[in-house]
Amino acid sequence: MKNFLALLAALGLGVLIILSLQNNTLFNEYGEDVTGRDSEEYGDREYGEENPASGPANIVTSIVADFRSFDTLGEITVLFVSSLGVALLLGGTKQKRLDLGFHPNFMLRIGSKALFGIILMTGVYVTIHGHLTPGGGFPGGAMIASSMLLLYLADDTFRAKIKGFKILESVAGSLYVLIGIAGLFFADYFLENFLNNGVVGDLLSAGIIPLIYVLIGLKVGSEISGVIDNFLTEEVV
Amino acid sequence: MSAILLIAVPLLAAFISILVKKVSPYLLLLVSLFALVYPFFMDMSDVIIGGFDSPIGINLVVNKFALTSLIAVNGLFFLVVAVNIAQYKKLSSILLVALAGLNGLLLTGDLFNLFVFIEISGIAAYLITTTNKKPLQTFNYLVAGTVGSSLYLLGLIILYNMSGTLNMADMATFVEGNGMYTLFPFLLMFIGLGVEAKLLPFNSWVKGILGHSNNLSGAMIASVYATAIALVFGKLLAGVFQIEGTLALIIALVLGITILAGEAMAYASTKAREILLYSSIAQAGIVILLFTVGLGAWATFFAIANGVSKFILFGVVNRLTEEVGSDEMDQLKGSFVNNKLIGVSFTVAALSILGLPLFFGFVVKMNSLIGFFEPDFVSNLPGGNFIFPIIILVASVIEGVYFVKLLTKLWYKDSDVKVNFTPLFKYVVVVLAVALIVFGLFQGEVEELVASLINPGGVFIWN
Amino acid sequence: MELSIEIFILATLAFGLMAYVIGRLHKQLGSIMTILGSLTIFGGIAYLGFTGGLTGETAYLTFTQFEISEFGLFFAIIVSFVFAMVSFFNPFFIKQYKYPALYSMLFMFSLAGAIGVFFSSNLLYLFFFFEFVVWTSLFLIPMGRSKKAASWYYGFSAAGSFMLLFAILMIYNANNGSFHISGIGSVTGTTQIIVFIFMSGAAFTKLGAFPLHIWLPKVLTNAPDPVSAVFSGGLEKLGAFVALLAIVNMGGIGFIIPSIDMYFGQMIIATLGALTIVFGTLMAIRQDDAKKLLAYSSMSNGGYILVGFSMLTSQGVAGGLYHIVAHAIASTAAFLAIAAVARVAGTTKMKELGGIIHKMPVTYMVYLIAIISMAGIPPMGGFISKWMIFQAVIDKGMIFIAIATVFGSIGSFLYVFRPLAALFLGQELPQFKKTVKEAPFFMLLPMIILSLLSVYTGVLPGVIIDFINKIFVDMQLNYNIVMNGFAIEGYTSGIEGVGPSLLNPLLIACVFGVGVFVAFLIFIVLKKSKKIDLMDTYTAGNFVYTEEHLHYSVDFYAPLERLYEKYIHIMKNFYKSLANKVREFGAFMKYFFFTNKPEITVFWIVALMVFLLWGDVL
Repeated sequence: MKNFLALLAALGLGVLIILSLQNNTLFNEYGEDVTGRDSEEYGDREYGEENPASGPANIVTSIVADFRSFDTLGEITVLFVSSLGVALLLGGTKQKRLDLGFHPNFMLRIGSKALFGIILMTGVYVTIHGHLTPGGGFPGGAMIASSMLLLYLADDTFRAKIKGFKILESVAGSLYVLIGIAGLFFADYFLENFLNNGVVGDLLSAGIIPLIYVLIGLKVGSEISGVIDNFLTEEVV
Repeated sequence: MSAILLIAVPLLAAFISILVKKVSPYLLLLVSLFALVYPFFMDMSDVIIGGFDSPIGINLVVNKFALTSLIAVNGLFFLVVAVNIAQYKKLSSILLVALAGLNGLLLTGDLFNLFVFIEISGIAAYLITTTNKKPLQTFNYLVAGTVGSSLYLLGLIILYNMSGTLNMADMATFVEGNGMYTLFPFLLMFIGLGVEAKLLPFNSWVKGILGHSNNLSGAMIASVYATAIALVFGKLLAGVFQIEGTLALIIALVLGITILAGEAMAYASTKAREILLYSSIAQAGIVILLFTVGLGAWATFFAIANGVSKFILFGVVNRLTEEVGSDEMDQLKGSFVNNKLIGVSFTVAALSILGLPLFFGFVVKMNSLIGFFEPDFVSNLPGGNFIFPIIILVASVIEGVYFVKLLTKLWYKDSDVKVNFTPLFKYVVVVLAVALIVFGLFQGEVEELVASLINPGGVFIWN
Repeated sequence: MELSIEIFILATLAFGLMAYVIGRLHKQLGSIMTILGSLTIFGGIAYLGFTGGLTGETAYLTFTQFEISEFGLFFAIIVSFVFAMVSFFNPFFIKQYKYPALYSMLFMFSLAGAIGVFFSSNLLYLFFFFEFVVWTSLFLIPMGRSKKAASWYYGFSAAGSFMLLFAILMIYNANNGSFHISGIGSVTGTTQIIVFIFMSGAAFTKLGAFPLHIWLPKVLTNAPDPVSAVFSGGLEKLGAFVALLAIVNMGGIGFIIPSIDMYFGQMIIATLGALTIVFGTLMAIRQDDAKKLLAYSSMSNGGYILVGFSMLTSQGVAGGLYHIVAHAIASTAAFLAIAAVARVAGTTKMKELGGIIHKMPVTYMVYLIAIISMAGIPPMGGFISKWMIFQAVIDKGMIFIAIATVFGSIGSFLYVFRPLAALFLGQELPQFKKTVKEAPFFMLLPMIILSLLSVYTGVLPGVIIDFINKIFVDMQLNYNIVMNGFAIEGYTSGIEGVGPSLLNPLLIACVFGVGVFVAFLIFIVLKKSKKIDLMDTYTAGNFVYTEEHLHYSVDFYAPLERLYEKYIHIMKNFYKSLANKVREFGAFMKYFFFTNKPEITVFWIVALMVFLLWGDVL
């Protein structure tokens, strides 16, 4: 009954939102067309151009890692503080692996290790090519972490070297901020793209954006791995 | 010097601090001191990030409002940290992130960026409250906070769809021209922020959090965060959505109920911490009401005065509770007989909240009320402005009765409660109490300061 | 010599701080500072005030403005005098207090605040000082018997001062953003009515008038004994000051009721004033505690001031002003006398006391004179003021108000006599034989001064009437009291050739003196009464365990009390239930909104959104 009421309330709210937006002509007006809006500028470049205003071929990336790079810095901070929280609440000093309730057989162990490399490579690829193709640091980092998760799930004795992840996490985050501050010194603004943009579509183009994306990828990967480790271990009582 | 360092430096320090855990408390102290001092050297400017002029890119707005807020919030933050860090070294990194988040909240000129900082500071706050050792309450806070920020985001999405901009100044012009259409997203955002700002009826988390707070979390949430969120709320209400007419009236009524209910709930409580937390609900209501009707400049100082007082009140009560083992008023009675210095500071803070003369609270409360009656004051509400001063005054009477009850119990009953306060805490509390008196005595100077917040054009946010 | 009033305020504050510092080192020395301080302030203000040497310039407190007005001076002299007199008691009581140094400081601070109120020409700072008095005096109260009295006091005081603030802000709004005190008179229309209501409300709370009186008996009973005297004689007069500004200064409010030629607003004030008199009297009659009894008498005397002011005639307003003086002197003396008794006897309950006159004859005389003045019997000051108020009321033809005022006067015979008899007269109780002795000289001194003044104001009213006339001129009121030699001229009767009625206090005093002399002769000549033990009562052969219940002052007016005891707690119950309602509302809201379930929050969010969007899209 309670759940049903909750569903009803949620449905009601949804209908309400739809209704209120239906009458809203402004909302309907800008369905697809972005002409004349601020956002028009975001997608304004062509493949092969030299030194366009904003470098990456991938428009989404140009928004995420360039126009709104500061937001992205904020987002990785959200992830950072979340993983800190997990570590604070779950992390203890002496830890052992959580009992998963089964023992992996030989095939699973070896197979997962083979698969691990492939997933890791995909993750790295997605991260590095973030400014050219769909993907980027966040999904790439998540893929890297998922490769770790695979190892954790497939082997009930496996533990990664968490200390390494910590260092990676810290260094990647610090470098991100430092690149931002470097922008302040080498150019005029924080997080400004102070390197040469190159030609749109090349792997080495778009200035600092691939750099940032790699850092994001590393940071996200190591943070999520850390979280996984925290979830899959327990304190020795 | 660029304002961005206020966000970048704490972040950098936070990232580094996880590697050097031993020194991270010192890093935190150093950075929060930096954050306190730095605003004094900042120029008023529009700080562009990433080299894209607003509204294309994200910008930080450094105006007098932002500077005032920064100094107040960072000052309080520094004091909270300085007093408590020895006990909570584990939280150093999280507090560094919180500092970055709070500075971002106060500085940013971009609505989505604001959301990001709400998230950052919010998650940091959830983690700070885990030190209460009341997981369920923290979980409630988390759920409420998340619902709130989701609503804010939903409202922002709708607004972005309509206007195509995320820049606050830009959005302000858009909202001004299309007031009717922005009603719904505004409401979503208002409710979203209302959760954090402790407005009724979205504030059920407050009791669980502040009612079981400790030295760190009590002062942090009730003083630092409350001030910051109230000021952010004000920034949006005064700088972006200058709501008027019936909507403003309805919102003001909700706030009026928040104020009265908050005071009544405090009156109905017997636990010292509950009294304080319900009182801060009412205070938050008053601050946001002032922003809603268009008295932003004084509302800013109202929030700051309240933050300073709440720091003292929560700090002292939490320490007493820790020692006595209960926060029932009757258990704490007579606590000040042996702790006169702390008692006097506590009394000053309480009297300042009541708005009694000689104290900072009097200056802000009086001037806020005078604002309603200024002959050339154009309220954002249609007609009947004088009802809200009456609400504030009635609330003050109720507030007075329970605070006086609390004070007489703490001062005049005989007991052998002897609580040791660390010397540092004593200094901090006394300095703040003296500050409340000094600001209360030099009201002319405060009035000038506030007048300088208001532009000749009458708008007080976007210089 | 010329001195600014701000010097006096700052000096009072400085004395307060000095009293604190010295008080930390030595309790008594600190309280002696309050004597020096308040005497200096009183002397300075009175001397400079009469010689015209007070100025309102501000060199230090530049944020506010002061103006020297005659009525401000009038109140300032009275209140600082009361403080000065009471301060003599401080050294003898200081050991009883929990925070002696703080007491001395706050004592002086509240005097500074009161002076600030009387001379402020900036209404906002008038409120500033008003609130300042509230919180400084607030912390004096819990040093006495009960801690709860403080929150009652604060609740009512805050309500009163916020009413004042609201009125001030309305004035500010109507006068184009000016806080000048002259703005009170220049508001019109609805604003005027609102201002009048709220300012009267403020006056009522401070004065402890019906229906906002609950705090007064609580505070006067439970505060430390000297503080009770300060409240009754001094701080209560802040209410009279506001009443003067509201009721007299603003003039007629509302429409004129043709049959009695009175404004509706003033009619309401007069009625409430009369109710205050009746209520205070009835309550005073049934008290067993001498302080509480005096507290209610203080309340009923406040009613006289209100009735006098609301008549808006020369006699009425002058009577009200005169009553302020007379009551300040008399009630301070009475409270001080009780305080002197309480100091040695340790109680103010009448049934536990008796026969104090044998040890404290001077205190007895002081109390006797004070209550004669309070009851309005010649030749004391209270007689003149009450007489003038009677005249004004009867002249207006307000028969019910007149009955109430006369009832109050007669009632006061009934009640002030009781402490006199129970405390001082009768046989000496054995337990007090050794402990009780006459108060030391420095306590007797202020009491004697007050008694002499009571007689002086009752015999030679000229000085004060002159002062009152100056106030009328200063306030640009069209009132005047004519003195005919030693007599006060009253109303001219309708009969041709008959001049104005005359009240000649000197003559009355002489007649009275002769009467007293005759009575004294009879007392000397007649046989002395037989002395028996106070508890010499027969109880059907039983041994008496609780003999104080058989004290003759217990249930003295029981038959009279039975007539109204059912209705007596109406207002108290009203406020108690109001407080309970607030508490219930708070508890309800707590129950409703502050559960441990986050889904409730979500529910409210949805509900509020639906409500707000109702008109918009649904």
